[in-house]
Amino acid sequence: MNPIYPWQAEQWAQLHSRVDAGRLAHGLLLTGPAGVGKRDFANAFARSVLCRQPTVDQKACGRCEACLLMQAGTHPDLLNLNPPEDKTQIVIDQVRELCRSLVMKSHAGGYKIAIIVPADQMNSAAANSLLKTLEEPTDNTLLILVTERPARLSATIRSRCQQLRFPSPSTEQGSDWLSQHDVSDAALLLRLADGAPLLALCLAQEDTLTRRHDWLNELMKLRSGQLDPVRLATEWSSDALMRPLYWMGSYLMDMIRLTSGQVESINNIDLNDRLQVIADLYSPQELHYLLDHVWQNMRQAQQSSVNRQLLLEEILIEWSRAGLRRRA
Amino acid sequence: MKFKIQREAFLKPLQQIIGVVERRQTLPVLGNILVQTTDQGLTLTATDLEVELVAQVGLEISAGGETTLPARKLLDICRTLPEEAWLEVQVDQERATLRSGKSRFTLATLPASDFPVIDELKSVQAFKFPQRDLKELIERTHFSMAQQDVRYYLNGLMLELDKKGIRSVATDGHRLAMCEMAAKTGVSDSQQVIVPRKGVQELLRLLEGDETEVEIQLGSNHIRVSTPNIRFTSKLIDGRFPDYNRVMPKGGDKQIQTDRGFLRQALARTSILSNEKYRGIRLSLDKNILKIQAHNPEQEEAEEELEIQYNGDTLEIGFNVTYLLDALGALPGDDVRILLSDANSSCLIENGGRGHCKYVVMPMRL
Repeated sequence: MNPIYPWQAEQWAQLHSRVDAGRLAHGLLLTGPAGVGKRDFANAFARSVLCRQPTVDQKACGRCEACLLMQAGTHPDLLNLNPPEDKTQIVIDQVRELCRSLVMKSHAGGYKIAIIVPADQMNSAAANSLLKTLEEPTDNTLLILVTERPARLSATIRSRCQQLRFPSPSTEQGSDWLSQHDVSDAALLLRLADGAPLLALCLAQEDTLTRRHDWLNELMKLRSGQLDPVRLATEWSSDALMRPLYWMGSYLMDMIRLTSGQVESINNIDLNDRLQVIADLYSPQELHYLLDHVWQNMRQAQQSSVNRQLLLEEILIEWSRAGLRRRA
Repeated sequence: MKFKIQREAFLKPLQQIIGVVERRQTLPVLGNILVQTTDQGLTLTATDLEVELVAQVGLEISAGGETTLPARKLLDICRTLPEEAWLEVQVDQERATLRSGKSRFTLATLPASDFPVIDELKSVQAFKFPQRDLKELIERTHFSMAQQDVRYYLNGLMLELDKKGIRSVATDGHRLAMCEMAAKTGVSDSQQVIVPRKGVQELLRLLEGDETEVEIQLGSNHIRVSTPNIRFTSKLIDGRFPDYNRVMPKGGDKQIQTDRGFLRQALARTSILSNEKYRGIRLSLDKNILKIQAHNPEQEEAEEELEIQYNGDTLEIGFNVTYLLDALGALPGDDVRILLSDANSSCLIENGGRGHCKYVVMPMRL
């Protein structure tokens, strides 16, 4: 059973009232920050629509034949489109195959649903081959596109979908939900996850919380010349998800906030004092420049297969130099 | 589940249904076949989510149940057993054990509830039809289906039922093939369905050329054809087929009558030197003479003259020779009649023979 998170009740009711009224758009675009549960929502909604005996509150029963097939991932009317394993893009052949299945009549006589996650990872050829189907699918077809970066979709895709927004829940809702999942430090985690509860839960389950301190220490040592940027880059590039770089960005953002006096709005509330100390070593321009640089490289690393070692070396050298230049 | 079966009785149905099990499966359970026990014996089901094949095997069952077994491995084991060997299959939870003589195999199973089967069809139109005739309907038209056309409703074979009979139509936008058969369909309003390309090819493989009757069921979403051994079910394409009657050329005043075999051979010879990509040939008609010409970019030329029955005006017209050859190859009977009007209008190829086939081919500008 897929959960509906408490902060999605409104969107859930909205979509189901459209289904009941027979006014459901054939293209839905679910947008919102990472870690708020958009993908789970899409799956839960698809299941509730295809379930043969939905419960009174319109959730999937989890027991009928359709539900069993969906749990096994073999329901012929529920198609999932994701980037192939070890690839970052959804390619044209996958989309063509999807469109080919969608022109058939449905297996069970109801809706045919395709869920595309993450929609922004369709490359341009793939996205273009979806346009015709997305604009005018056969009857009872529902395409659900899920993305945290709607701006990266082409305008032609966006204009063919009805957008459904999933903002981060309120801090209260978020920390309530986190405390139900036995998470301590809910407040800090939510802050670090920009308010996205699922992301916060993820952070709690991995070693990021403790490693964060190491990464900041390493940055400080680097600046004081106790660490070699090349060696540190080697170490950091072994992290598959590029977490050190992500957190370096987060620190930089908080330092910028600190230098402009917005102490309340920083994310790394537990590192406040240390960040303040480092921030004083750099000028605001340098911080902005470094942050831009980090973000740009993060994006590059996610979208293409750049040499991570070189990429990190460059950033770390910039970091260690920036302060020095000022002193000189 | 437990049963004992002779190799041959198991091998044949397995071979018949294996065609829809694709080699590279994204969903592991689709690489399996569903094995269920019934009162009469076994049912074996294979599916690719588009086409489903179900085989019945009469058998005495020692213990009932259902599971799914890896299709190709099961087939390969059966095939390589010695002839007339007995195979004992026993399934306990997640493992299936196969024993035959001194051989022993353990296969991994997947739960039967993961396997998507097509339920009984809804709003069904059912009737019986000789197997041979259904096969003919498909054979005489299927080659004209489009391949991966964006007009998705052309990527299949249209079957139309009305009071008088059943009609199959296929077109790719350049040519059209139609075949009609009389039958007691029992329908009051005419009904159209489009069977996807893959389903058509699979069905053609199953049908045999004898008189036995098959039951055809048309549902709102599926077509089902039950032969004595195998039940075939395919999804339908969700679209409207173009109005083929408007494509049928009318008022063709130039009529050629000739021997089908001779014309076909002459075209086949000439086509050797036609452009490999466009396959264009030129037909020049004069009184009782048909001249066929082709040339290719290497400046090679072929020319052939054929005696025919023709009384009309002279006419020069170009065609894609592949389309003509396909139509002439599929047409029954010894004679062929071709109706033409001018160089820009399509031609109608037919003969008055059994099955009532008609082929329409658009001309080419040469």
